[in-house]
Amino acid sequence: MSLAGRLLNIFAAPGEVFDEIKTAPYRVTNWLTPALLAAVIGSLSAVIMFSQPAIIQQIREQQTKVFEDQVSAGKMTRAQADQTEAMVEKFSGPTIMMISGSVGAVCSSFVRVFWWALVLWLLGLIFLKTKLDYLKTVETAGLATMITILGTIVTLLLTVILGKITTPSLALLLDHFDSKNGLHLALAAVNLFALWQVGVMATGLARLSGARFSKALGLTTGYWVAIQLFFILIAVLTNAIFAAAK
Amino acid sequence: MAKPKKRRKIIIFSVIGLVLIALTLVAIFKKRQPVITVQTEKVLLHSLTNIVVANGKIQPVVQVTISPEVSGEIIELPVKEGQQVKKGDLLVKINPDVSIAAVNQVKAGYESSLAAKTSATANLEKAEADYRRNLELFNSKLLSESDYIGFKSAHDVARAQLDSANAQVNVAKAAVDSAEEELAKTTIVSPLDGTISKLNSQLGERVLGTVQNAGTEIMVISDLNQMEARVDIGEMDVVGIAPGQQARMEVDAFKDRKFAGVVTDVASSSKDSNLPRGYSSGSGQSQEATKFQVRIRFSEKEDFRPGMSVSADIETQYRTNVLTVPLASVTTRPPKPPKPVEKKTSSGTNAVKSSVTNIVSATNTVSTTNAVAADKKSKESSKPLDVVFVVEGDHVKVVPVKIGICDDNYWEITNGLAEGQEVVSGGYRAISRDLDDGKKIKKGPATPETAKKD
Repeated sequence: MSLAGRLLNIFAAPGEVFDEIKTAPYRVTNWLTPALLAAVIGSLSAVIMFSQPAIIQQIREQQTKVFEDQVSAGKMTRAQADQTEAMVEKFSGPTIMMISGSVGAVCSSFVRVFWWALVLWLLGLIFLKTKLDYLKTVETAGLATMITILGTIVTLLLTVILGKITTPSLALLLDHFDSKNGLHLALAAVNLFALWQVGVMATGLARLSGARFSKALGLTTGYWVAIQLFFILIAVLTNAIFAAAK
Repeated sequence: MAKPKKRRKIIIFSVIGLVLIALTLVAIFKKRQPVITVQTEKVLLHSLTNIVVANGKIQPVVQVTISPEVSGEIIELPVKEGQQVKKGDLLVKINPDVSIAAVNQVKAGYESSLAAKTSATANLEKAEADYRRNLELFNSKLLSESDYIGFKSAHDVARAQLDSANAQVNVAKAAVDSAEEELAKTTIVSPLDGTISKLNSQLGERVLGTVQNAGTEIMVISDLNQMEARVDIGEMDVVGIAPGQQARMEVDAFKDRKFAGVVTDVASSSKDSNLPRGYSSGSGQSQEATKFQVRIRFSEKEDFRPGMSVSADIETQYRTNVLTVPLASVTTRPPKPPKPVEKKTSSGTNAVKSSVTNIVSATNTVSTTNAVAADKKSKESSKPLDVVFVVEGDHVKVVPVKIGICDDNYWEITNGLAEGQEVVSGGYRAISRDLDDGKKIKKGPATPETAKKD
C-alpha cells in the first residue's frame, strides 16, 4: 500500500492499514507525514480563524466581561479597566493570536503523536500483557492523526459558518456556551472526530496486540473518558477557586 | 469480498467529500458580520430627581468667638469647655488694676477741672461786679474811658476763663467715662445663650486685646440648638444650587440615618477667591478644583458636634413621568460628515484650454479658500452627538437624542425617542466603541451591573 493509500484508507478501512503496519518494516513517513500535515492544517486554521472579525469580536467580549466583572465588584475603576483592556488588546491582537495558534498547532501535532503512542504502548503492556514495539505504536498514532486533521478542517469550517469558536461536538446544541459550566464542558468533550480517532486507535491497538477489538476499544475509550474528566475537573476547580477569591 | 470493501470505501470517501464541499460552500457564500452581544431595556416613564452630592462639616449657625478688648492677665475663668451659658453670664475677668489706676487718674483730673471751674466762676462774679460799678461811674462821667475799658476787658477775660474751665470739665468727664469704659471691658460676659464649644485660654494666661491687633481668641460660644452643614460644591454644580432646595444628609457619626435639611445660603465667591493675586495655597504645584460653600440647615435636632463630617445630597431638579433610558445607554458619536460636493471638471477645446485653465485655476483658488473656511467651520461644529442605539430586529440604529437631567440610574430624554422603544443598555464596550448604525446584535445574559439593578 502506498503512503497516500495508507493516509486515505485510515478513514475507510483502518484495519487494513494497521495489518500492513504490523508486518511491514518501520517507516518514518507513516507518522511524520500526518504530523506535518496536521501542523500545516492547524496553522492555516489558526490564521483563518483569527482573521474572522466575528471570532475576534467574541474573544474581545470575553476579555471585556472579565474587566466588567472587576469594575462591578469595585476592584477596578472604569478608567483602569479601559487602560488595562487597551494594553491587552495591544499585546493580544489578531496577529499575535495567529502566531500563537500556529505555534501551538505545530507543537501539539508532534506531541500528540508521541503521547498517544506512549498511551497505546502502556495499555498494551499493562492491560493486554503484550509488549508492543514503540515505533509501531508511533506509526499507528501518526496515521490516526489523519482523523484529527479532518476534524480540524471541519472545526474551522463550522467556526467560519457560525461565527463563533465551536467544535463538531454536542456543544453545538447549546445556545450559549459557558466555559465555567461543567456540563457544557462535558458536552464539548463529546467530539465526533475525537471519538472517531479513539475508535481508530482501538483498531490499531487490537491489530498490533492481537487482542479483540472490543477489549481494545474499552481500553482506549476508558483512557479517553478518564483524561476528559480530568481536564473538566481541573477547569471546574479553577473556576471555583477564582470565584471564591472574588 | 474485495468489491463490498471497495464499495464501502467509496461510500465513506463520498460522504466525507460531500460534507467538506457543502461546509466549504456555505462558509464561502454565507454573509459574515460580527455579532455583538448586548443587553437591552425599554424606554419607560420615570420620575427623576437630579442630585448634587457634596461633602463638608457640621457647624453651628450662630458661633461667636470671644476675644478681649483690653490686654492683661486672666484672673477669673469660671467656665469650662462644654459648659452651657446664658446671656450675661460671667465668662472672663481680666486684671483691672491698670484700668482702675487710669480711672482714678482721670477722676482726679476731673476734680481738678471742677475746682478750676469754681475759681473761674468766682473770678467772673468779681469782674462782673467791678464792671457794673465802674459802668455807672463811667456813665456819670466820673471815670475815664481807659479805666472803663480796663474793667470791661477784665470782665470779658473772666467770662472766657469760665468758658475754658467748663470745657476742661467736659474733657475731664469724657476721660473719666472712657477710663470707666476700659475698666468695664476687663469683665466679659456671654453675649448669647449657648455652649462653650472651645476654650483656648487658661486662668493666669496673659491675653492681648483687639485694639491694635487680632487679639487672643479666649473661647468660642456656639448655639448648638441650630446646626448647619457647610459643604463644598464644585463650580460646575453650584449654578444649580439655590436657597430653599431640599437636601438629605448622612453624618458619619450617625450611620444608617438620613437627616433632612434646607439650603439656606450659597456663597457668592469661591473659597480661594480671597487669596491675593499670585498667591497659591500649599506647595503651589497642585491646582485644586474651585469650590463654593453652601450652607444647609438641619430640619431636625440631634446631638451634632461642630466639626462632624457630613455628606449631603441636594435635590436640585425634579421631573415627573418623563421618558428615560438607563445611564449606560447614552453615549457619544461624531456626527456624520456631510457628503462632499462633486468637483466640476473643466472642459473646453484645446485652443481655449490655456485661458480656460487660467480662469479655472483662479476660480479653484477662490473656491478652495471658501472650502477651507467652510471646512474649518464644520470642524468647529462637529462636536460629538449624544446618541442611543435603538434595537430594530437583530440590528441597531443610531438615534441622536437630547438629554435632560439624570439621577443615579436614568437619563431624561427630551427628544429623539418614544415610549416602549428598546434600546441597548449594556455592555460598556459595545456601547462606547463597537456599536454603530446597522451593526448586528444578539441579546446576551445580563451583566453584573444590570443584574444588580434588577
